[in-house]
Amino acid sequence: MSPKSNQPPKQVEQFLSWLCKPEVLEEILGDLEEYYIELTEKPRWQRSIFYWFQAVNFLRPFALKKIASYYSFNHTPMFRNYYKTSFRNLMRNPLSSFINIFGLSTAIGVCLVVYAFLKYDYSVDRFHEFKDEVYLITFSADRSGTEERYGLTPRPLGDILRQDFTYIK
Amino acid sequence: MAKQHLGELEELILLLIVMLEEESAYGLAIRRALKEHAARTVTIGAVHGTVNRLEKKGFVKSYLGGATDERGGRRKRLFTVTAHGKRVLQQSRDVKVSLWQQIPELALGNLRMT
Repeated sequence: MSPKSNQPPKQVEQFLSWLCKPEVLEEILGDLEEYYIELTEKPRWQRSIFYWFQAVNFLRPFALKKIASYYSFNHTPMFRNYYKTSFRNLMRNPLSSFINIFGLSTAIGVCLVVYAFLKYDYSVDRFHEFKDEVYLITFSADRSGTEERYGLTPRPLGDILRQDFTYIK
Repeated sequence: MAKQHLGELEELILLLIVMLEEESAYGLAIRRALKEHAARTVTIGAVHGTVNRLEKKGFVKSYLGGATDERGGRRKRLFTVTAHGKRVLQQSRDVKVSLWQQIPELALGNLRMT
C-alpha cells in the first residue's frame, strides 16, 4: 500500500462486517472511507490509528449483530412445530384418533351435563325456612291396573292433615 | 405515542439536520457540522448512534441516497426531520425561552438575554 493511497485498510472492513448488522454496514463503511480521505494530510501511522479508533467506536448496540440464542424470546416457531407434529401424528392413525377424541369429548360432555343437572336438582327449593321439615305429599292411584304416582294433592288435604296429626305444623 | 425525551446531543444533531440542506444530512456531514458550528468533536459512531435513536423516536426519517464513486460505490443514509421532530424542537426552545424570561435580572449577574 502506497503512503497516500485512499484505500482504507481492508482488515477494518472485515472486522466490522463480522460484528455489525448487514443493514447498517454499508453506511458505516461509506462514512469511514470518506473520513479516511479527509485524513490524507496526516502521517500514515496517525491516519491508521484514527481510522481504527473511529471504526472500533462503531461497536455500539445499534450496530452490533444480535446474538440470536441469547436475545430470542420468540417462542411461536416452537409451538408451531408442536402443533404440526402432533397433527401429523394424529393423522397417522385417523380411525383410532377419531375414536379417542370423539370418545373423550363425549365423556367430558356427559360429565358436564350430569354436573349441571345435579346442580340444578340440589338448588331447587332451597329458599324455604324450614326446608328440612317440608315434605311433598305424593298421591298414588290405581288406574285400571297400573299404578301411577302424582306430586299433586287437593288443597283441603293440608287443613285435614293438620287437624288429624298434631305434629304437623 | 409516548412522550419522548430529547437529549442534549440529540437536540443539537436534530437542529443541524434541519440546518443542513436537503440530501446532505448524513453521518459524516453531521459530524463535520457539529465540529464547525457547535465546536463539538464526537466520533462518527456516536453520530450514527444518536441519529439512529432519533429515528427510533420518530423525530427524523431516513432513506438511502444514490451510489457515487466517492465512497467505494457505497450509498449514504440521508436524514430529514419529521413534523414531529420539528414540533419537539420548538417545544424545547419554548421551554428554555420561558425559563430565561422568568429569571429575575439581578440573579443573572453578568448574563443577559439578548
